[in-house]
Amino acid sequence: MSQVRAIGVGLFAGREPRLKARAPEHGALGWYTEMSEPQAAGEAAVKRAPALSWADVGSREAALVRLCAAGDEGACAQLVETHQRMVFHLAWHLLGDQDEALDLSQDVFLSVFRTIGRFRGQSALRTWIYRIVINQARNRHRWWRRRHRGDQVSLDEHLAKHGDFPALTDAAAPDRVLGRKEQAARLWAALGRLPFEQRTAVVLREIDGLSYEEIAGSLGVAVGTVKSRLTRAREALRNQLKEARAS
Amino acid sequence: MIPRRCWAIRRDLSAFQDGELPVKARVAVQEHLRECPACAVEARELRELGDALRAARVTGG
Repeated sequence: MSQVRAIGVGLFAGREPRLKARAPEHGALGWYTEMSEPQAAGEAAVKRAPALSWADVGSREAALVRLCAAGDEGACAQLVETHQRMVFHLAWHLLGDQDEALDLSQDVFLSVFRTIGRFRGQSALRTWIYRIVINQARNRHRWWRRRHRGDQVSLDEHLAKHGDFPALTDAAAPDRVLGRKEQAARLWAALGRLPFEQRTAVVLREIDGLSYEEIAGSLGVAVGTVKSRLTRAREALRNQLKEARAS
Repeated sequence: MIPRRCWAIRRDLSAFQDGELPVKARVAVQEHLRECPACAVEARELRELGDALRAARVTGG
């Protein structure tokens, strides 16, 4: 039961684990065998980011991965503790919804523990987990778009759902703070209108601070693809913001 | 009408801002921005977009 307990720490404390333990013959990782595989990126990649070997992954990380694969409870808890905020915030930025992000985060760790035995250090563990988050977020995004196409989110709704913007609240005059909050809400709306792959590239670069190579590894595409997606995404965002200011 | 040289530079501005251009291309962009006010404005707006995105990130949870 180690993994189920492991995801009951930190952000997930108090949330009901959604997968039930299965018969012992499935082994320590048996719960996860019904989860879907992390999928390849949707866009055809002409050239993949260079693969790493176990030698490239830190020895501590490699040891942690092996312990998790063996079902070690403490190691699983440590992995969750280390990566849960990154997973949750990335999911939140990609989906634009806190509850969905929390829900997806649990699915991500279930998928991580189900497949970690096959992780061979082909990328940093963080990049590998990013990829799982992105693939699951992409699937949910498609589902959400089909059902909520055309929905508009007001600033009030946005703030009610997401809370305040902590980075905008200090050391500025109230009218400037309001202006920046309105701009932040416009940015969120503009991000939401971007194609998922462009939005992901922007979030990974501007908010998570990943390099092009790390983004390429997380998305399973060539570095050149990352560059062009970011260029297109930023141009689209700037145009949308200009239109919003003009209207 | 945007000059052809400016188009080429603007195509690289995003990667320039991210520090992801090779040295030669980076130097070319830097030199162009010193002499072209219109492209310098483009570069500044890109920087401001990045600042705004980081300011708008969510940190709760």
